[in-house]
Amino acid sequence: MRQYEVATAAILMLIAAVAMFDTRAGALPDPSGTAPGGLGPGFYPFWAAALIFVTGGAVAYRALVSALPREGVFKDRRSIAAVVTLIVPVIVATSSLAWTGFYAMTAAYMGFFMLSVGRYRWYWAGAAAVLLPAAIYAAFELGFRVPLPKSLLYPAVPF
Amino acid sequence: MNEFLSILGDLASGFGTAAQPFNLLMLLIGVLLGLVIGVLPGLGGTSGVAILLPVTVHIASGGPGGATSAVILLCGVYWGALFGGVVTSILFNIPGEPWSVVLLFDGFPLAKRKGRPGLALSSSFLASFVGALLATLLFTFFSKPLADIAIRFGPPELFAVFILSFTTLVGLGAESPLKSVMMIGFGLLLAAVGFDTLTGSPRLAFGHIEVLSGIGFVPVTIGLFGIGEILASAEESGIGHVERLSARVGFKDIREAFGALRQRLHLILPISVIGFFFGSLPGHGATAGSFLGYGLARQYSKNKADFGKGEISGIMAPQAAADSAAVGSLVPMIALGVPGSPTSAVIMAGLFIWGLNPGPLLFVEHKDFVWGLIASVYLGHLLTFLICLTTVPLLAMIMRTPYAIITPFIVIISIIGAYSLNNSLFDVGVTVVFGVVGYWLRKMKYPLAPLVVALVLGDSTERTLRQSLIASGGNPLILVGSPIAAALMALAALMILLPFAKSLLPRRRTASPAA
Amino acid sequence: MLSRRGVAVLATALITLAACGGGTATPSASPSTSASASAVTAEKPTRPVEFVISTAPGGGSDTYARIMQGVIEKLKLSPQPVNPVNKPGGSGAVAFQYVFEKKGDMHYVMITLNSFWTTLITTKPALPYKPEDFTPIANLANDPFFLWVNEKSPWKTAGDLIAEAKNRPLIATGTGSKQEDEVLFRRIQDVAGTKAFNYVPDDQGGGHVATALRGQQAGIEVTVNNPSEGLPGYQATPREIRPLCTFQPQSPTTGPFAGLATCKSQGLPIDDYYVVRAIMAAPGLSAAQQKFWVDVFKGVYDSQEWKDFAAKNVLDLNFVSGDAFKKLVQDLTKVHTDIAQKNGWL
Repeated sequence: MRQYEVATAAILMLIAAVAMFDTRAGALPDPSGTAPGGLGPGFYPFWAAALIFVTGGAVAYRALVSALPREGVFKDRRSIAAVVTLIVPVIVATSSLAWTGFYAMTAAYMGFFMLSVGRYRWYWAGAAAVLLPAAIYAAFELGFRVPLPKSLLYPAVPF
Repeated sequence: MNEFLSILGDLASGFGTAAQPFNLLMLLIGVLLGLVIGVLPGLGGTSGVAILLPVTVHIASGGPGGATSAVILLCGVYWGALFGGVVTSILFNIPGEPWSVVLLFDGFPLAKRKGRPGLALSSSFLASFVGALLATLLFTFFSKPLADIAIRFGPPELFAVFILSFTTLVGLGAESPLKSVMMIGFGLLLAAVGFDTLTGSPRLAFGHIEVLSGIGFVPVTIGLFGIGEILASAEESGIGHVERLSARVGFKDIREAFGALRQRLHLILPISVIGFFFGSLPGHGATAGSFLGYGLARQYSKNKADFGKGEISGIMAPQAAADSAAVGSLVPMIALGVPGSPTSAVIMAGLFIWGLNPGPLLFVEHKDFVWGLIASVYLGHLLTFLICLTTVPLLAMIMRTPYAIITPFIVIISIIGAYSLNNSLFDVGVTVVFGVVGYWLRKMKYPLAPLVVALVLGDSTERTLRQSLIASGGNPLILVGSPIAAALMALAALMILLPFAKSLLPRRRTASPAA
Repeated sequence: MLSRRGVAVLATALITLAACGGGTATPSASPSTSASASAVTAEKPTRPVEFVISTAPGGGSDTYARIMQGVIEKLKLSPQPVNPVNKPGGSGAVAFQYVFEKKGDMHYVMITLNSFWTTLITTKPALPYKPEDFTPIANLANDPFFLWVNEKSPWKTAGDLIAEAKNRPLIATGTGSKQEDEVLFRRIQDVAGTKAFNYVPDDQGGGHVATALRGQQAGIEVTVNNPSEGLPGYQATPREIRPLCTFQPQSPTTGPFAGLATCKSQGLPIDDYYVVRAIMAAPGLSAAQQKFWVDVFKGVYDSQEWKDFAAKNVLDLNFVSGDAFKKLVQDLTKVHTDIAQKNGWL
């Protein structure tokens, strides 16, 4: 547990440090200078980041000195596997969105999930993979005229 | 007294207008479309009304009721979307609308962890209805004086309001104060990313144009709560687990919700009044109102410890505040000719298109229109409420959908929800990243509620502060310069000091007689 | 068994949604009839068009875009549906970037206002394109600026206000930072030699700016609202705000502000600045594609709906397309670059 606790706090502190570095120019109120009203755009993000940095340091320190058990952040190996099998397809699907378009991605993801996790028969998975994007297409593109991302094949293929 | 009677007379004639068959039909269509739009991810009241605007041109110019029918249709969409927006919050942990974000704190826990989706839904619908009803009464009788007060709320007063909202939420996630503060900082920092509207320069964008839109709290909360929850529950119960639900999902939940409301009326009614006033502040409204409603309910509820775990007050209070704020947002539009919320801004655009000038002259020149609209607010909410209640059992059934179907479905609607708010693929990325972040933070026992609150309120708080200082040429006294701002600031100070004072006093009165 | 019922529940729900949605809007499919005879034959779009709006629904140019869309549909000016798409953020930069990336594709048009110049000129880091890079379609109206003060204010003319502004910084507000309202205030400062205004950028639109003046929020004393934004406060009983003068070359002759003095006549010589309600398309369209859109928006301009709307909102109707519009785009670039240089925004 301890190393995860410290690592989490450290990552948040790193983010805070980057933000503080980026906005360091406006960190102090500047009543006479160029910033209108005395507070520049950097003031607020700088101190928000400083808040993270300080409290993050305290959290990390307490994790180091307290008697937390070393292990036990995950329940077991299977629960790690569960999380990974869920998130990896999501990342693959969303990062390919710009090429596949929303509808093909939905069909592939829905079908894949029902086959691999649900162990449905192929025709059920296939039906869902066609019907869900079709229903969304009907509601968004045709009904409310809200365009969702299209594939690279668009406009040769209508989605 | 005379004035009161004349208002009643006007209202009666308004009901006559609104109850004409064609107008009733428009209202029904509007409400049904609004419900669908509210439930559909990424489409909310604002975009729903905007989408239907071109259609209303035909209704206003060709229909039997003219512009009145057109505005009734659009308002129907507004009310429908308000009710529909909570459904995805409660069932899937995905906010349908900005103001239903706060329902993630208690709505989803009640629906899922306690297995009572029917109760959660009917509580929220009921609170919406009660809040809206009270707000509509206030709207009918006090719109002009209220609007005159609301117009005085400039940057210093609004800054005080935001500070007050923050103070009501002190102690949220109190199990680990240090981590709570850290999450507040994180929320504030995220709110700062993007285009700084006060100087027109990018902040923390690192040269990326997509980042200029900022990190929206809707994509972030969809990730933190929607995707994060899927990951967390997969780890806890394994992939392919089946949700446990209370034995029977049915009308019993509705009866229970009525009972719960009766016990909480002393809380819900004042919060609705506050929500209504919030909504009537031009340009602000339902979202901040819903958070303030939640914070107040939490501070003054005897079940404070149950908040965040599926407490019914945590559903009813923000929902009543949000819905009464939505009604309130019509006040400045009708009384002053300025929009109270983005949705009412679109409705106001409609007024221009149909050839009306919103503002005080409406009451004189287009009496039929104004009172028809007000009457339709009553009828529209009644209609929406009845439709929603009858669909509760059906909606609750969705929770029984098998895991391998509902999980990808939630992921897909999360993606649509993140994308279609700003039509931005960057927002989809934000959602996925914060899905992982949310899962991990939850695992490391970081409270997420303070992060969301800071993200929602942080941006407006900073902006109003800097606007005040620009106006005063850098003099901080402007923050307490007007009587309203000074009073609100004093109230905020009291809210912070009260818990300390209480803990210092010897414990004489342990049981409060109110509550 | 359970799983099968689950599928059925979801499918039914979705089909109902789809059916409800499908009923709301029927895409108009009849061909355009407005194409006038001239050298170039217009090339028509072959799929739904995105009408990009650089503000959120309800804000700024959104209203204008939706009115235009309503007219295009009603008069069936386009054979394909024209769908408004909001791309808010970065004072328009997000929308401009989006349309810029659609080079040569006629299925993207966008409504622009002065942010098309201000944002493109002042955004840091600099955007990799100029206003002239987009395909110019047409200007549909000029929305004039008035100089507004609260009704309780002692100033009766622009001259009174300027005399006071030379003594102390006045508190002004307007939409956005380094956008059209601030540009105009900085020009006033520059032309009349006043102290710098304490300019409070508002990000809730022009209607909200007028409201701030009505309520004298945070001590605000002066705005440069468009007539339509100021109208509700002007018509309120008792009156809450009043215009001192207009930044037009001539006084308006009709409408609620007929006879309002020009600012030029009151010693504030600015008469060439207004909000441009214009249409731009993706870069690199062919002449035939450009012609299609010019025809469509000429159709909008000629419609009774647009004329009524313009009258209600006190717009100057002014259709400019072709080379004249190209020139207008260049002129506006010059005006905005000049004021940006003088204020060190570059």
